Amino acid sequence: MQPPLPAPNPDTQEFWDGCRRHELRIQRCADCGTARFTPRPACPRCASLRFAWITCSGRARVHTWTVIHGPTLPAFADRTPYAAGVVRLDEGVFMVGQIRGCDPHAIHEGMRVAVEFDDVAPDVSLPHWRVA
Amino acid sequence: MSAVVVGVGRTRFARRAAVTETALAARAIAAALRDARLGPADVDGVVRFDRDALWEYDLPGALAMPALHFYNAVPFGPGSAPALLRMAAMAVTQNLATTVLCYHARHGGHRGTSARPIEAALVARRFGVTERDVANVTLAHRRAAARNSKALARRPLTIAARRRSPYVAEPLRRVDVAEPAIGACAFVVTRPDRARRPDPVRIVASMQAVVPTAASDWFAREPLDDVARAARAMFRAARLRPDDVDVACLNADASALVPLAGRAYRVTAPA
Repeated sequence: MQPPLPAPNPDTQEFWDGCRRHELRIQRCADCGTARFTPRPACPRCASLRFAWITCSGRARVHTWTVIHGPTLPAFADRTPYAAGVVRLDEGVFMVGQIRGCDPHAIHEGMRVAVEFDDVAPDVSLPHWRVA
Repeated sequence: MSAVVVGVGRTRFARRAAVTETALAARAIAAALRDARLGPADVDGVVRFDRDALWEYDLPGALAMPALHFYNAVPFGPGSAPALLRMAAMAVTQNLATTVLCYHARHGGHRGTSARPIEAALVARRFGVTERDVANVTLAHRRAAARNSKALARRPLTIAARRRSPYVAEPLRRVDVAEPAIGACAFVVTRPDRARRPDPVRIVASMQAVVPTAASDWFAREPLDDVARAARAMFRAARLRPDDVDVACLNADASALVPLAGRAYRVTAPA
């Protein structure tokens, strides 16, 4: 069953287009250089409206995680229990996603993960994290 | 001038009930006005949550409140309930209204598909809230509920019984997460000289802090530091210290967030 699909808007379109190409695209402030996610019009550090899109390395470390048992949406029910969490990318931003590739109870803070993309619909891919 | 709370009302709470949010709100408002010994015509201000079904525009027709000179809607009820109190106190002390009604009615919620227990679990892990801490809060809630005839979950809970409850998102088990309920509350804030009860409760201070709604922003910023700063400012304004506090009502629909609120306010979580 298909998971809920994103609803891109003009702020987030570039991120979702990147996912479709299996690239992780985030914004970087053109004035102070601070990377930010989720996509937004202004820099959370200096409020500048000038920014550029960059492609992330896709490398990250586990910042926090949990093992989800449900009840969940039907699309996720057959995966439970599964691990999901927040990772800190090498570029400094935080993203959520499933954490895969090891026993959920072996996950620890600081663990190295790398992005992988699930192609969930013909033009939609979602990023998740695999233990590196 | 100060502001005082002079009446509190609530409906019965239930898991299932064939009643609209509008009717729930009307009942809680009537109870609060009765408790305050005031009538609908005494009310000239109202504050609600933006998600409430009964709007201030409905009140003149629905509840015989003819002239509302101040109205406001606060986001994110019921966790932001203190904001109702703050807006009402502001309206009264600034002479924008003399008697302000605050209410919230809720018919159920979204158990089962909510991301909130998961977000609470992620925050708990990051900030060192253990399963034992979570259990202490849930058991304390249930001890209090057992003494409260209006509570919904009044069956006592032991550590062993909690451990038999299935995990939702580790370390949170099903009993650690509030179930959606049906009910409404209302209260009335007015000027001390308008109070008809002999025991008005003075509002000595209030404070707000914004916390992000997105998990990715929770960790990019330090929202608990913002809450702690707001708590310090509130205590300063009240000329009180955290150890002067005998009763704290820390609203969180997942037990895991209560110890974090306790830390931010520097009040001890129940053990």
